[in-house]
Order: sequence, then C-alpha cells, then structure tokens
Amino acid sequence: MLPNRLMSEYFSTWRLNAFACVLGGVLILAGIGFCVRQILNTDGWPLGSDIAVYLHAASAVGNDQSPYSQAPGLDPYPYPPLFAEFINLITKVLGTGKGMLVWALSGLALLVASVAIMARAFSPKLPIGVVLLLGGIFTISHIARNETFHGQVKFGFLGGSRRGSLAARSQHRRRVSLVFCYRY
Amino acid sequence: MGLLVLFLLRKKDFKGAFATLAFSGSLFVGSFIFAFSDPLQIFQDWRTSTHWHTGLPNVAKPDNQTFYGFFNRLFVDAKYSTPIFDYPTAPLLLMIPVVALAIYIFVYAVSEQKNVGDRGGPKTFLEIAITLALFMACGPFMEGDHVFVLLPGLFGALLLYFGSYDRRWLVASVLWLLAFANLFLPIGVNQFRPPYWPKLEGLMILRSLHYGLIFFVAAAYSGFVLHSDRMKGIHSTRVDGDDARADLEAEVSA
Repeated sequence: MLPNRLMSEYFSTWRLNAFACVLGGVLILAGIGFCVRQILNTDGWPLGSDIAVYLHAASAVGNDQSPYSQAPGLDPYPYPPLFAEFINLITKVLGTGKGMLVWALSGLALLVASVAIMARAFSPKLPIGVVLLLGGIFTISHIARNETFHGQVKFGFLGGSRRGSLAARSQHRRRVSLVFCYRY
Repeated sequence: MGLLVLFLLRKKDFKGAFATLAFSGSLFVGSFIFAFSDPLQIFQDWRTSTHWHTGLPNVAKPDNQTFYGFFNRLFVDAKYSTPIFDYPTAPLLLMIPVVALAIYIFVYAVSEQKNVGDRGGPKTFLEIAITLALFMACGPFMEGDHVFVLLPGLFGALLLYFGSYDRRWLVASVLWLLAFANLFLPIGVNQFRPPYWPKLEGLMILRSLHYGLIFFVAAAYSGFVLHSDRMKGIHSTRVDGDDARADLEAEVSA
C-alpha cells in the first residue's frame, strides 16, 4: 500500500497514473521498436555485434574446440564456457537468426521485469504508472538499445539478482543462493 | 559473483556464501570438465582471454570508466591516451589507496546485522548496489552497459526516501539519478564512442572517469546515510512497518 502522503503529493489522481501508464507503455513499445529497427537495419546482424563473438564460441564448443580461439575481427570470448554452451543450445533449438533475436529481445523483457520487481514487490510500492514510465525510460535509452543489439548478459544479471531479492523476501535462503549463483 | 560472496560474508550469511560459491563453482568447473576433451587447455585459454580483457591495452580504452582504467590512461602509453608521464607501475600503486577506501566504505556501509523488516527490500538493494558500485568503480573493467546491474541502488534510495521522507535519501536518490543520467537518454552523448575514440590528452583524460567516479560517490554517500541511520537506531521506518504488518496479516490469514 502506498503511503497516503506519497499518493497525495506525487500521484494524487488516477488520471496522472493513467497518463504515466500510457506514456510508459508507448515508450516501452518505442524502445522495442527502435531495437528491432537497429537490428533489422544492420546488414548481416549479428555480425558486427558481440553476439558474433558468442556465436563463434558456441560453434567452437559444439565441435569440441576452444571457445577462446579468436576469430579475425572479433574480440576474444570473455565468459566461462557455460554461456557458450547455453548459446549453442538456443541456436540448436531455434536456429541462429531467430534464436539470437529472441535472446537479444528477452533482455528488454528482463529489464522491464526487474524494474517492476524493484518498484512493486517491496513496500512502499510505487504506482503502476511510475513502473511503466521508468521501464519505458530505461527501454528507450540508447544504452539499452546498445545492450540489446550486442545481446550481452547484463540484463540477465539484473533480472537474476532481482529474482533473488524476491526469493529473499520469501526468506528461502537456499533459493536465494541458487538464483544468485545461477545468474552470476 | 565474487563480490556477492563478499557481500554475503560481510552479512555473516556463511551458508549462503558457501552455497553460492559451491554451486557457481560447480557450474564453472563442470562447464570445462564435461564439455571438452582437454579441459586444462581450455582453462588456460580462458585465463588468456580474461587477461586480454583486463590487461593493457584493453583497460585503457576510454569507455572503461574505472579508476584502474583512468590511472592507466594517465600513466601508461597504451595508444588510447597521451600519458602525463610514462610510469607503468603507477596505476597499481595508486590503486592501493583507492581499493583501501572502497573496502573501508564497504565495511562502514554494509552492516553485519540483518536489516530488520527489510527482507531483501530497499536496504538490501542499496547494500548490494553499494558493494557492486564501489568495487566495479575500482576496476579493472567497467563499460557503459555494465551499470545496469547498479539500478537496485537507485531504487533502494528512492524507496527509502518515499518510506521516510528523509531529505538525505532524496540527496542519495539524486546522486544515483545523476550517475544514471547518461543511461536515461534516448541518444548516445558519450564523448568517447567507439570506433571514434580520440587519443585523450591533458584535461580530457580527467573526463574519462566521471561515470565511475559518480557511482563511487553515490555509493559512498548512500553508505554514509545507511550507517548514520543505524547509529541513530532507525531500523523501523514506514517501510519496515508495512512489511511487519503484512507478515502479521499473512500469519493471521494462514
């Protein structure tokens, strides 16, 4: 329950909240649209992005080769092999193009979900309008677009840690630890 | 992951720290052992790759907003800057007081005690974000999108402000907001964007630390307020009261 003072001073009317909901929703959709547009407008995507590094590593893992063998023009793969094995699995199940698009865009969903958890799962709860508005601002930010384009794992880290907070809230310590280490 | 274990150890949650370390360690080791016929060689390759990312010249890239990257741009000729003088040992020496300060603030800010009524909420958000922000700002490597994992710091400060209307939390929220300001913008205004990185000289080198520095300041200030609240015995804000009431209601309904 939102404190009365907060309700009265900051989000006094349902109209303001509704306006924030609409604006936030529009920003989220626009943010997703900009990400998709950037991906579709880049010839040969995911070439030229960090995903190319992950795909190279995933392909090597699938062939019992080192994921750390550096391909020309690409940075070395930076993570432990587990992530490459995970990417390898996604590409096997969904195919490379569709799999990487799903992977990249699922990051945005994790970002908005993380904002919702942080703003709504604990008290005081921020109004839904604020959640959508903040989610929209983050989604449309250039750095979220960059993160999505490169398909990096920071949204996964954020989402995992917020899921851990939920588990901590329910005081399931073992689950907290598992969620934390699964993501980190 | 190491920072989270450090956080859990500081909170004296030894079981949690051990479980985190054991489970993630198993995943880490298992991904080498079970996937490759020569896991030792792959492990060596991983070390080489990690060294590439955390060593020169990569750490001297202008978008590495850590103190370590900054000191390397100041004192090492690594193609991304013109150092004020070339002294490759200086970054390591200068990191000693910075890391010592980060450890001091971490111990000062993150309480050994459980946050009463918080249950993984705003205070825990902040404590984790303070831990991450302090040591990520130290280095060796933190670039633009890495800061997403620090968002709990902003939300922790905001929720504590809305739960208490204490102006100090408003100041903390503003500091976190400033730290994230670049992230909020729909267009990139970084002065250092690949592949157009200029070779930094003189005062421009000083500008290559501002993101890392402001996260460090936001974390330190939030830590100061958390500590100050603890000293005043402010454990039971409206936030905690709501949680306690929710606990009671849940018990009654059960």
